[in-house]
Amino acid sequence: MKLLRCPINGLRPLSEFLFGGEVRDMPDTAAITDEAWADYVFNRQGEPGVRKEWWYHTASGTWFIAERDNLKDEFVRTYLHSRDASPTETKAT
Amino acid sequence: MFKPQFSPLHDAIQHEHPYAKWCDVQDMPVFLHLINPAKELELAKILALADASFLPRIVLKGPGAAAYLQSLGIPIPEGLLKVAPLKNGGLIARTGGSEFFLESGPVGWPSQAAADGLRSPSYKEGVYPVLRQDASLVISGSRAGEMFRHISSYDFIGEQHGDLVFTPIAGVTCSVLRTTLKGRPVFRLWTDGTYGTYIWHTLLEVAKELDGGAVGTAVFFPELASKDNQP
Amino acid sequence: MTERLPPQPGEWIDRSRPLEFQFEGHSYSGFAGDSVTSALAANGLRHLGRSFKYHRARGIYSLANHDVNVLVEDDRHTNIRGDVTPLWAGAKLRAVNTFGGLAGDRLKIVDWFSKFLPVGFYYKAFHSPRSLFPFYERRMRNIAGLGAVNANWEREHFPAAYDFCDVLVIGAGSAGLSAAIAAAGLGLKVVVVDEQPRPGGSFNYQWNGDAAAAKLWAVLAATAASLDVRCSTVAAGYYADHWVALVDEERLTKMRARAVVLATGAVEQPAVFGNNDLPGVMLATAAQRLIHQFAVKPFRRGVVLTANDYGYRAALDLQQAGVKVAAVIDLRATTTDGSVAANVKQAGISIHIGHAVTFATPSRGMQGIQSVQVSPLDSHGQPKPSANIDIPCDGLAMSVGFAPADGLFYQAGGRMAWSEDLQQFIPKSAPAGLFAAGRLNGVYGFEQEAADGSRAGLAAAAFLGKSIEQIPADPERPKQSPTHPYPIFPHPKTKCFVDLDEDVHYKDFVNAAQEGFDQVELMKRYSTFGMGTSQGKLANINAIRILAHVKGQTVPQTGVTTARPFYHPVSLGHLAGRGFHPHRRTPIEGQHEALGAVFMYAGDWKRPSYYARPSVSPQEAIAAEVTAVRTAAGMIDVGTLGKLEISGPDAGEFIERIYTGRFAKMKPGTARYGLMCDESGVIIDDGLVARLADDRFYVTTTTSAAGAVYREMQRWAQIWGLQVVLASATGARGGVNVAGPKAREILQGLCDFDLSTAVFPYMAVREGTIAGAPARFLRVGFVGEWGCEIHMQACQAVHVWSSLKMTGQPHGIRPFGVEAQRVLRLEKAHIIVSQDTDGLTNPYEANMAWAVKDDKPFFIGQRSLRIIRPRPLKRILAGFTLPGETPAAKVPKECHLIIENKEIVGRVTSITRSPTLNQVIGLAFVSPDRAQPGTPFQIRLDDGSLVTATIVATPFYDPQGERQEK
Repeated sequence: MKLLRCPINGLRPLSEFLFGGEVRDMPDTAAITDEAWADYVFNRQGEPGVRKEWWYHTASGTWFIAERDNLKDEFVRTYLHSRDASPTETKAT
Repeated sequence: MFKPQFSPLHDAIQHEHPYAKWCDVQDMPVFLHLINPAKELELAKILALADASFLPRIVLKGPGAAAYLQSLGIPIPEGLLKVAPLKNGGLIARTGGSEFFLESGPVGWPSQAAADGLRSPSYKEGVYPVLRQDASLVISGSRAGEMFRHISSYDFIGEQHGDLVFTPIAGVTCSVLRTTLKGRPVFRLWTDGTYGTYIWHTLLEVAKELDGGAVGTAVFFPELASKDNQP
Repeated sequence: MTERLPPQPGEWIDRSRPLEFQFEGHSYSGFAGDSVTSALAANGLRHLGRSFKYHRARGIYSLANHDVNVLVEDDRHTNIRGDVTPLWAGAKLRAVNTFGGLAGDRLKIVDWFSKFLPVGFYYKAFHSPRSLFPFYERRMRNIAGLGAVNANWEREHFPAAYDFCDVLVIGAGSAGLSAAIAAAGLGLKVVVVDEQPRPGGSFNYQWNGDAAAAKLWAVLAATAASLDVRCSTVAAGYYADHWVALVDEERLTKMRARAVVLATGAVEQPAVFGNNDLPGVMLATAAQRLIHQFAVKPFRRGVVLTANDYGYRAALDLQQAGVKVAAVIDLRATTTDGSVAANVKQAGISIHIGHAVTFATPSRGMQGIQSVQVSPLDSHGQPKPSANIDIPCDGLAMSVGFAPADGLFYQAGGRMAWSEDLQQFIPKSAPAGLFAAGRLNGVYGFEQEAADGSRAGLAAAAFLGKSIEQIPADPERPKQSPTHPYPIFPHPKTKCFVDLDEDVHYKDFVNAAQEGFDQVELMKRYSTFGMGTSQGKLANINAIRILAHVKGQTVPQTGVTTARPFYHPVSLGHLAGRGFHPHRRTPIEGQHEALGAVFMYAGDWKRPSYYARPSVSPQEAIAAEVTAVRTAAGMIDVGTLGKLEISGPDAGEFIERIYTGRFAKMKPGTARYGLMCDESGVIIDDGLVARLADDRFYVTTTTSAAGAVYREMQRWAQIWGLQVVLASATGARGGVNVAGPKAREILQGLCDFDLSTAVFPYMAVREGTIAGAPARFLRVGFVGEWGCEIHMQACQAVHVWSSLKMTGQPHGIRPFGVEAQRVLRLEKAHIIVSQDTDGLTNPYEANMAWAVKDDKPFFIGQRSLRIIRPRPLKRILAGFTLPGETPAAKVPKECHLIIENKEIVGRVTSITRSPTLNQVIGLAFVSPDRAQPGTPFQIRLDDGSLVTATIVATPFYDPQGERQEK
């Protein structure tokens, strides 16, 4: 069972987490075309590389971001999403 | 006015121990003893579970929570998941950047001011109280760690720190704390009250396999025994 | 007749504890410490099972669970693997997979028909005529498979457990124990596991008489006595981040290690020749295990086939055990005349260098062998049949090579490379924290394996941060490979078995390759080699060699198949563990039980479906509950609802963005219906949004979406960076909904505030007390009567419920359950999200355009709904009725389809009999152009018949909503 480091709760087995999808910014709904909006709603980036993903530690209710190399299936870093402070980066495993 | 209120584990305990002694603690029936008190003390050395749901609890959240607590004379733990004791046997845990979990001791909050302030905190100061109705247990004994090995993937034997641990136990979200009660090393466990009966039964099933069992609350909170009266 | 030998040094049996048992109806005895197989062999039994497909007689092959020839069952359990199951007193065993017992298995006739059952026949035969397929299927099901499942089995408990260590060492042979000692010596927490009942690995059977090995073993065993060594424990599977499934008799342990040393050894491999599967033909190590571990003479008169020194040692062991060793047949063209060969010669055993066994002559009934045919090999390694010699014997021990036990290594993500020198795969790369040692690593020799183990243990310690001065150099691998490159001699007229589990033989590979299944993974699936219970432990490498040979390529070019958990079979009971089924109960559940509630499960929750009454059918009970609500009053436990607190200066703004309606300007003390969509505009939840104060909202969600809604709100709050504080009160508050014409009167007697319409109108929210308990009160209308939902502290819920019941008794209040509530809300055509909506329903299809306020700056789903709204609807939710006299069998069910011109044009989402209206009412998705009240349509029932329903305007009951809004 893979291990993932929650920035708050530490290293835990993957079963303690929920995958929350790709991290991406919502485009400006006023400016965007219908086609581009549909692309945002229905399509995701999955090409090989280090992807930014939302993960949720269910027991503590903590949302955080994990960067994962989806080719090697290895977590690279995890940190909290934070608007003001700099992210608390921790080695992912 | 008498407002009967019940621990989430009340039905389960009453069902298994129809003749157990209880007393009224802050309008809630609390089972002081479930079996012979001498036997309970023996069990407590091996593996014992007791219901501690009766202790008043609250969570305060919001940008003003830390300052408000300090104004009530309540110490704030510095780091996330850190726990500090309160006078009169309670505790405070920092469960978020501006979120605090407080549990009162068996005889009350640290001071009258704290008790008043926690009962109705001022909303204007950016302080939001969250109602808590946890099912809570005290677990003691040399085989307590072994019990956790049956139901949790967290290494409660290897990890010896005194921080709050949020993790699933038997498939249900719980928070667990390694601490001491009157010098005796114990685990405290809290879970959503609606899962209380399930957690109680599941832990008890494992405990019995390890020669443990359920004990009354007086084993860990002897100060309650002096209020020995039936309703 | 016993084949038991005098006491052997280090034997595993305890002669002071005899055990009586039965096999195939006959009584025998063995000793504690015997395995089932060894006890059978000790009693002189050789024919121990029947093969899977051809029902050929089989006997001991590996005695190490690398084959499953000995598979037995009793009245309780089936598929008991004899090699690794300790014998127990009173066992009553029989072989699996026989028709009429082991000896007289009627299906042995299948062997004679084998030419009609070539490889892949499953895919070709029995196709026509199609009408006969059910007949073939029934026959096949009776013949196929192994043991029979006992359906009356009592549930056994295998509680799983977690464990943790620094270094997990898998294998307690010389390499494993040396690794463990090295790591433990540096202060690390080490756990060693071994699938055998005793540690020692090959020392237990392969090094008899080797003084150096014995001396080294004594030291290892003594040092290892202080380590945590767990025998009879199988490392069954390797999962991410060094998480290993350890299986023993009692439980499955989920071990998390920080580093792992794999010292799993190598599996001795068989030779392939005519009738190489008959009882009496076995691996040399099987014969040696029989002798040294169980003190059993394997056979009377034997031949040893070898390609290495180990075979010579085996010959001496056999002779010492009283077996007449007729000859040693050495496949190699030349050998270095080592001391072991010299000892064999001195012992008077004739040696034939450069010869092979090509055929085993069956004894009577094909239940054993009576001789072996030996051919000299030419310069190309091919047999010369003209010079065949026949050697009478009743047993053949084969020592022609080894293949690493690398299943776990592959599962962990390790990669192997073919060593042409060694003629086996050896580790090429391993993931961080994994270290291979011993024969798995291509190191052979007792001392050399121990040295390699130490190296691996130190490497593991260094990986974990221990400072090591000098990690020993890479291992010394043997100059002469103990493994023959091609011990395969196809016989023109007889089956030469490659996979014993699946009865796959040499010709099958040739045929499969000819048919185009010539890539190793395809060959595996088509021929089924490697797919049986032993997962190809004795078959895979020979299969790859044969395929390489047929295609004229090398072994590395041919490749290997993928190794997956589990390495050995694991029972479902072990995997089930305790079987946690978390359940939630509302604080009032005890009251429902006392009232005779019949419960249903809604996710983790138990909810009263209805309250049973004596001599009243469920339908009648539910109808009575419905009528009580419509005519007097009802009370229902709604404690399962999601309850969320949204507070802070930006709380209103936050809710505006989450829900489709307008909330930011709501007055405190009011509530509004909240509809939630996802980014694609699909309805995902609904509930009530109540404003308690400028900066405090109290929101309800549906029971099943409570967790997900809270979670998504937490995320949005972070992304938007609004000043909002979220908290969940779902479990902390109980809930009771009181509804009906008498409800207000009942409540007024208990509450401390004025409930009259002027001050407590429809959709108002108040904080007050009921029977002295503080609570929140919401005026709602889900069931279509005057209703109030009370949310109190969980610990006081029972008090509130009891007070309501007592006060309401004289007014005729009745508890009602989920079923009655569903009828009541359907009478009002109030939708239930995820029942009347599906994964694609937008608000317009559900008649909810009124809940979507598009003139606010933003809400989730707004942009998508702007695209959807101008488009014509594809379907729309409409109410319909059927006459009240419709018999039960003709009343449609939820999800029954609407058919028009043989096309599906819609489906029923909700349907029920309404006691209030004396009709069958329901909601359905229909075509928008056929949705006018009065339009008939057809619904298709389970039996294919069609019934006619009529669209009507909704709500069905109290269309103006006067009763709920007064």
